[in-house]
Amino acid sequence: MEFLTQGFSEAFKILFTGDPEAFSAVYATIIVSSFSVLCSAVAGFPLGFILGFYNFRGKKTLRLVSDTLLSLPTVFVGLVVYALITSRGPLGGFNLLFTLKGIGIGQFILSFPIIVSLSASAVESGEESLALTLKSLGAEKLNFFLSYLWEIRHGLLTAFLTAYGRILTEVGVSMMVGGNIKWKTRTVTTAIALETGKGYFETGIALGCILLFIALFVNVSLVFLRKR
Amino acid sequence: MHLFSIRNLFFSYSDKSPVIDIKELDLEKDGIIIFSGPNGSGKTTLFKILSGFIKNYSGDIATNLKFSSISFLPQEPCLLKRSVKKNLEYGLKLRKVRDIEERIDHALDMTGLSRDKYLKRKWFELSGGEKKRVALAQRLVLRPLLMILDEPSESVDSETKYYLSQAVKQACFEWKTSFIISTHDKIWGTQTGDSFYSMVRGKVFPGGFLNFVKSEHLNKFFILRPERIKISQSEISPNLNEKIFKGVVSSCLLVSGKEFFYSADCGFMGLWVKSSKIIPTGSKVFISYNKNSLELI
Repeated sequence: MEFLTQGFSEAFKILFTGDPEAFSAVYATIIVSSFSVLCSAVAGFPLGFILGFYNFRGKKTLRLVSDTLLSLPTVFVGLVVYALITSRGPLGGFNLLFTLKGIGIGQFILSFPIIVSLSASAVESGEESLALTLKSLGAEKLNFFLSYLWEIRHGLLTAFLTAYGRILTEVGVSMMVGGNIKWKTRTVTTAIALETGKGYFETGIALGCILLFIALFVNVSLVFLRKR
Repeated sequence: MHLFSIRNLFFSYSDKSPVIDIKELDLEKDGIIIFSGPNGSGKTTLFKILSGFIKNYSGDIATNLKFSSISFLPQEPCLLKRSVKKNLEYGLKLRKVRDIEERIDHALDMTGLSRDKYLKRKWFELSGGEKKRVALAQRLVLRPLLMILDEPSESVDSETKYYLSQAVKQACFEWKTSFIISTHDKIWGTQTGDSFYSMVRGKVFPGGFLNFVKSEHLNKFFILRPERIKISQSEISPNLNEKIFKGVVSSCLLVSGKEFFYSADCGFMGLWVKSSKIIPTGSKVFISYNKNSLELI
């Protein structure tokens, strides 16, 4: 049990003394995860809107695919992205293997279906009278689209936070595509895996706590949006 | 000048029974038109068609109105998840109207909402009745040529009903806005409206106090006109061709100098009865009609 208490005290020490190695991992985690989830949001929200709002042929199939991809194993995504960006792969020329950009691609693949499926559900949950109201008040095309998204913002925020939580805590992609390179592609999750493997449970717990602090910070900072 | 001239309008959600089936209907401009009818009679669908939200109907609807000059208020009003002020401003900003504050003040006055009390409130801080009044004000600020209101008097208290009625009448008088309103509350409808229509099984009939009787045996609907029903406080002697019910007078409306409309609760259905007799509400009555008075729909 001692290592648990030591872990928590170590976490505070790292947080307040600013251990450069840990902060390099924190920095890499925040940068790559934030960028990936933002890209997913930009591409996924419009697609989720189309999937939730309109009726078209193949809608159910698309929805089924998107919902199935919610449970994509991270290691499998890591493997696929690795195969694509390795020097022998089709995207090998871009030199993305063992880079944060490579991790970003994998995390985008992980978070994109979450954004699409959950935002489509949020759009579907919007009452019919919301669309009638917006149109009746004169909203058309882009105005209608943006206003509709704003009105279901709580559902979209949930989609965003779920996707962010998923990629913030994933190990498979970061480990396989990033390679866990110190100062470069080491993220908090891969660092935890490494430290635990070496038997340094305290450092692992400390890094886990930091990950929780990041998640808490993101959620708290987005809470004001729920209140608006 | 007709607001809408409808010919052979037919609409169905599936290939089964038609939801709307209107051969000929001319709705006059300038005034408040009241539609009543049982649930599922097609009122909301007709309103969505007239507002331009349903387009895949067959038949002709001739009108001079543009989509942007019609404002539709759904049965369950949906306020935008913003403050009351922002709700009222929304449509005005889209239309780039200049006198926003003036219009908002006027619409709040018309719907009996105090500016100081309501303007800063959020959507979730309003009661059901207040939401309906804000939703109406949200449309009134736009001053459309036609407003279509789907059951605005449903699930609201008498004060809210009064304000809704006053706002509608004022808009009609002040801006010559035409109104098409559906309601189950015939007393409110009578106090508010200028002309009346009844709807059942997708068909429209002139007159607001028609009774619709369903024959379970034949699975058919019949119209039973109020003037063809007898009402008496003393027992009616049975007749082969007559159906007799016991009922209670639940409300009474004076429609002309000597004519009254009584709403009689007969347990399984309510009937509107026209009579020149004075019968106090709450009285136990006997109601009868000749089976030959039924008009098949």
